[in-house]
Amino acid sequence: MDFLSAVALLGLGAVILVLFKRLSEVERRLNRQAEERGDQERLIARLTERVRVLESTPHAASAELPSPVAAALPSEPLPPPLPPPLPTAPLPASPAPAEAPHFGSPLRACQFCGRSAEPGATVCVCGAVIGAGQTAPPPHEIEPPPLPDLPIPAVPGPRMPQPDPVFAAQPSGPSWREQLREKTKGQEWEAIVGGNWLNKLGVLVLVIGIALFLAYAFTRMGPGGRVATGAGVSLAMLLSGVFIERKPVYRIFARGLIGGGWAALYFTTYAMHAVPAAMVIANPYAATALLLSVALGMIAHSLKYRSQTVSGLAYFIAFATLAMGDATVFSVLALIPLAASLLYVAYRFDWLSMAVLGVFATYATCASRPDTGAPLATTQALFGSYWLLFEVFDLLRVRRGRSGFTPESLIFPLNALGFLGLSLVKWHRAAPEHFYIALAAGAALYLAGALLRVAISSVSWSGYEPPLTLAAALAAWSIMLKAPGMWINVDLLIEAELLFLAGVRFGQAYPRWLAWAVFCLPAGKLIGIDVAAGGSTNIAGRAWMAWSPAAILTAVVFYVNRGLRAAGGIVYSSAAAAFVLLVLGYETPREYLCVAWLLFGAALFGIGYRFKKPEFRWQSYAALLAGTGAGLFLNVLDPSPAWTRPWLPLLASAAVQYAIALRIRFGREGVLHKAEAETVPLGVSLAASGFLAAAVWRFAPAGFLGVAWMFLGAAMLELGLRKLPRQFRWQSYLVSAGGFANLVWFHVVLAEKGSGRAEWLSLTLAAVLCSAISARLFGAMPDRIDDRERGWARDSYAAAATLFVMALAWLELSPPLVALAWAIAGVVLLEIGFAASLVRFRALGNLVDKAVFARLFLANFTDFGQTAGISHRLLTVTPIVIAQYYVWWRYRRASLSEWEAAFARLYLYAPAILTVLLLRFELGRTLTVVGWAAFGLALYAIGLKRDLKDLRWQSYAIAALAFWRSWDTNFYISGSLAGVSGRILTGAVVIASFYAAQLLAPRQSSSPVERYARPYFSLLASALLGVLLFYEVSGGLLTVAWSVEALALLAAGFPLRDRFQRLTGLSLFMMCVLKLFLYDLRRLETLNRILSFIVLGALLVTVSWIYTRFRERLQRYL
Amino acid sequence: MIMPRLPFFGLLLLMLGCGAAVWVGQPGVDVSLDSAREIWADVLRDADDAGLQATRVSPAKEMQLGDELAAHANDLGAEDPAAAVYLQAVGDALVPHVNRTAIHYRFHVIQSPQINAFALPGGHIYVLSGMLDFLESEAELAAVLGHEMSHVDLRHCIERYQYALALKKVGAGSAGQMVELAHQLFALSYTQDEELEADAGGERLAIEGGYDPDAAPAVFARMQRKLGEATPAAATTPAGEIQQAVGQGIAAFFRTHPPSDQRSRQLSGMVASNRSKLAGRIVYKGVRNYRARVARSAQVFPEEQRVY
Repeated sequence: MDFLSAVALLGLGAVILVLFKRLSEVERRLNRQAEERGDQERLIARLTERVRVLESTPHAASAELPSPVAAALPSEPLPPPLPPPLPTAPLPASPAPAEAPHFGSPLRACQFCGRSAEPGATVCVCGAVIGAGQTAPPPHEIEPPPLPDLPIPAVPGPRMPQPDPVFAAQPSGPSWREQLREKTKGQEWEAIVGGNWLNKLGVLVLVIGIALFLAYAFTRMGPGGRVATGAGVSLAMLLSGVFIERKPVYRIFARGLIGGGWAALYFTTYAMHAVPAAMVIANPYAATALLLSVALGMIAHSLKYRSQTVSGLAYFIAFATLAMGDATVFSVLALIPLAASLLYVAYRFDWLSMAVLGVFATYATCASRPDTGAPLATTQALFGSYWLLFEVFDLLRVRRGRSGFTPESLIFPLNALGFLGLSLVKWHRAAPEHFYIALAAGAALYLAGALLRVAISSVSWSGYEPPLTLAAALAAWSIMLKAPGMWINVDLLIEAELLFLAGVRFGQAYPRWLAWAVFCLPAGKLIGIDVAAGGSTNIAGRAWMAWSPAAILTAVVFYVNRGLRAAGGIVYSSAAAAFVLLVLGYETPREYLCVAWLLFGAALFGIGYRFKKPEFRWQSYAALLAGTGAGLFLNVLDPSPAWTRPWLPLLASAAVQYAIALRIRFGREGVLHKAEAETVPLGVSLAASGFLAAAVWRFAPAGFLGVAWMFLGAAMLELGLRKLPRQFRWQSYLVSAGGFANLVWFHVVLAEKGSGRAEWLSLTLAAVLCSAISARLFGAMPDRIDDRERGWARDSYAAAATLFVMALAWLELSPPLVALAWAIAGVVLLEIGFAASLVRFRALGNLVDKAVFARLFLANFTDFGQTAGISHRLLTVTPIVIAQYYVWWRYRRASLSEWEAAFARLYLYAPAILTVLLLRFELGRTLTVVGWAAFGLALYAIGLKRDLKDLRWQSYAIAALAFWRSWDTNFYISGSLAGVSGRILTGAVVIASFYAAQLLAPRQSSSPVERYARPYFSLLASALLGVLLFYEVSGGLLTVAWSVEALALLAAGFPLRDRFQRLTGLSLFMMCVLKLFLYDLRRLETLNRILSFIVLGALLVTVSWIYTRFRERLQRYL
Repeated sequence: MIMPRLPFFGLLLLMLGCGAAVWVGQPGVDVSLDSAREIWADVLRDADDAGLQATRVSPAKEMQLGDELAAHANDLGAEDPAAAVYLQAVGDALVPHVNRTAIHYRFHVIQSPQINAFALPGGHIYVLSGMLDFLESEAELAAVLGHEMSHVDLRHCIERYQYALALKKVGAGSAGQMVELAHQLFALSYTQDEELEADAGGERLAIEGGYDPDAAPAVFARMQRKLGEATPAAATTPAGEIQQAVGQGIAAFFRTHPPSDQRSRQLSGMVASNRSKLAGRIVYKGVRNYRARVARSAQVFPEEQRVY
């Protein structure tokens, strides 16, 4: 029953297939009708438009016969008359309604499916015969498509507000889908399914029933009865079909009966021998002959209809009946004549699709049969017969020269699938140890098939590809089953090479591609299996990897192929290169793996460069990349401690890379592409640099790596300057940067005093080297290096040298001397910057000076040391102060940009600050005011003389500082200096310096602020004098003292022509008066109080008198 | 070539010469941010001094305040009047050399094992018996007393109370303690400078009083050993140097007294820089006097004298 179900499903599938095919045809037809209908509609629309134009044209008749519609409308001006109609072709007098045009001859319609048949055709596409009287409805019976709703031209009515035009999609005619949907709702579908398909389905079921009946062990009926019944039913079906076929109404139905009858008859005949329950013929040959006769009859009958469908159905049923029968030799033998007859019919009527069915059905029927246990040879002979049958058919097909994919193209693959599948299954069961023979035989068969196709094909070299592919695959399979170990690789190589050579010999691409596919097998096996499996073999006294010989052979074969054929050879040479890399990778000691790969890469590059073969160059790049990677990961990052000379492979690698760089440098131009020419020298030189740096890393003693890299960078720079190659110059910066970083980290940041000679020696060497390189780059070398790069390199090396010198000074000198040493470096840099007009040198010097400035606070101002009575503070800070002023002087003399000139002003402020602080620490908190006052006065004097505003402003600030410190510190704390009251001594100096500054100050100034410099100093001096008197003179005589001061100020104010001073004196007088009355009068002792009054009074009178007496003279001073 | 660059080469020569001079003079090895701290302290102190000038108190008022504070000093421990007599005798030798002569100095000994001494406004000088046990000569005692007297003479003591007194004067005495605390915090940055000033002043008083100038540095050197104040080793790496300088600078900011090592070195430097002035002076050490608690003014031991 399972088998019956399968057959039923198979039949159902076939029905569905036919159904869809029919549907497609219906769809195509509907589309065609829709197009035709569209044409008709367009024609109708054109005609309608012409009618409308004609009707809307004002003519006499319409003017005389007013339209009732027009009469009912209000009288409004009519629109202007339309222009006269364009001259058109004369129309029929009566504008008859649109009439469907008559296209071609009368159509005949299939009564079964409703389709129109081509004129002269007797058979519809659905397989039905169209009778002579069956014609399509006459054209006038065809309902014309509805006319479009055209606007009725009428007299324009009152203008109504018109809505804005909406640009919506206009409804178009129904699409073919809608039409199809419309059709499916109609009768047509029903007719197709009910009248045609259900019939076929019923026949199928019936035949199957007959088959079952025959196979059933019916106890009341012997084999003869069963056969007779079967034959009777079959013949009844057949004959009744033939009979009623004459009536057109039942023609379709009749054909189903005819097909089913033939099928049932065939199976009945088959059952006569094959089915035990119906076996009436013992002789297989007789049975076969009978079966053949039935098949021939079936064929003959089907030929009458010339219908592939009918014949195909008959054959299908025949196959199905065989499939359902018992598994015997005869059942499979019976397939031969059946298949042969089918193929004949198919060939005769060019029903190639049916042939496909035959192939499928034959093998499916055979496959459905269980293994009868027949000998291998017999079975194989049977399968061979099948195969040969279909192969011959396919060869014939090929000879016809059909090209492109058609359903019959499936014959070959189905035949191959069926034949090989069945054969191999049988071999696998019967003689698994000789399975490879089956494969080899299959390969031979298909190779022969391929050759035959080449020989007989009407189209040159066509159709051989599938059998050749199969042959190759089967041969490869056979080899893999039979050959041992690495011989598989060799044999596959031979097979592939033969294919390749054949392709080359006959100028065919396909064998070469096939060869490449076969080559992939040993290659894949080698990479995926053999390499992983490992193992070794001894050859020439050396242990090799077990797969190395095969890999080498593969590479050799690939290179031979590359040599035989240039086009497409890139794949072979690339694969060969990959295998060489693989062998090298496993056969070379890890220490020298990078060297081996790089050498191979260099060799490839040499070939590619010499012979202008880009493929070899690209392969070389891959090899070089691999070698570089190996060097990086094995030799640089993870070297084995057991390696005695780890630097040697690194140096060798660098040499190889460098050789390539030089090859390019001195080679011909134009060999490399532009991108290559730019990239490759850079890459190889970069790799060479890296290897050299790594070698130095391995080679240099501990503590000297940084300086060693610096030396390497210097050497590379020199090579780069000489363009050997020039990329070395840029890479030298990288290497030098690495050395610099190493030195900075280990010898500057982590520098430790007294840690050994490596520290200072490295720094010294690095400083000297960097200075030398900087000096080397001082002169212009336009043919070697552009000035911009040269400038940056020169200045960078100078910066590095400076840093190393500073670090060296820090390491080797005592803390107070460090700043001095740094200052010397800064001054030298600035001097070079000025002399050579190098702004970056000056910037560098400035940076150093800022470091010096900060350093002084760390180690110099609080240092207690002294030499010959002179403090180290003084000995170190003073030269730095002078140096700063020197730098400012140099800036002043140089021609600078605006920003640098502004920046240079810092060199006037920094030494002033340092001097103020130096005085503070050198003289102490109180005595420092003396130094500050003197220093401020000096600055002011120089500022006036040299017209340096900055110095004058500094003097103002220092004066304020001195004033404040004197007032709140010096005068507050009494003390003595050399026997003199410290307060008086320091105060006097400060006051004197203020007055001196007042005298120096110009009376007029262009600056709105500096015009007050004179009063400023005067006020500071007078105030400080007043405070000093406050502290020094006892309370009783303070008023007297202040009065004297006021008088002095007044007296000096006249000759000095200093109004402010005079006013100060007068103000002080007023203060004294106030104090006299507010304080002295109550607090002072009587004597002092009296004295104060007297003196103050006298002084005031004197002043008054002077003002009065010498009014005219004084007027000149006022 | 040389002539246009004469200033440059002259400058280089000067710098190299100065460097050589420092080189031969055995320069110090200290690296710190003391200079920055001192500058900052100067700024704060100058600002503070303006307020202190405005709130000055008379010596009489100061001594009155000192007496009031001294009344509470007994809480620290019992006084030793006998030892105080000796201190008074030594202190009296220094009093003539103070600047503020209006202040009446009185000396006290409190029985306490701590090695310490302090001064109150108005001239009350307290020395703890632990300090007396620590000292070894009368010259050392004179240095200690001179240090405390200098605090008074330089107004360090009264300055702490000036703002509070001023507030009390204007009727805002309740805010006095808070202001006092705030002022102490403000003055924290320069209290070390005041200590160093007092060291210098005390040394001056001791020298003026005829005592051995080397006694004061010796006291601080011995105190460093006694108190276990380790002199931090000089940093050997640049990063370590900066780290040490910053760390010490921050620590110094919150320290009221400078390290004994620094005080000893400052005093030694001071003596060294004035060696020529001191040359020929007769200085007194007074070990025997100190042991016997007999002041030099009472008995002079010739072997304790030497010409400086």
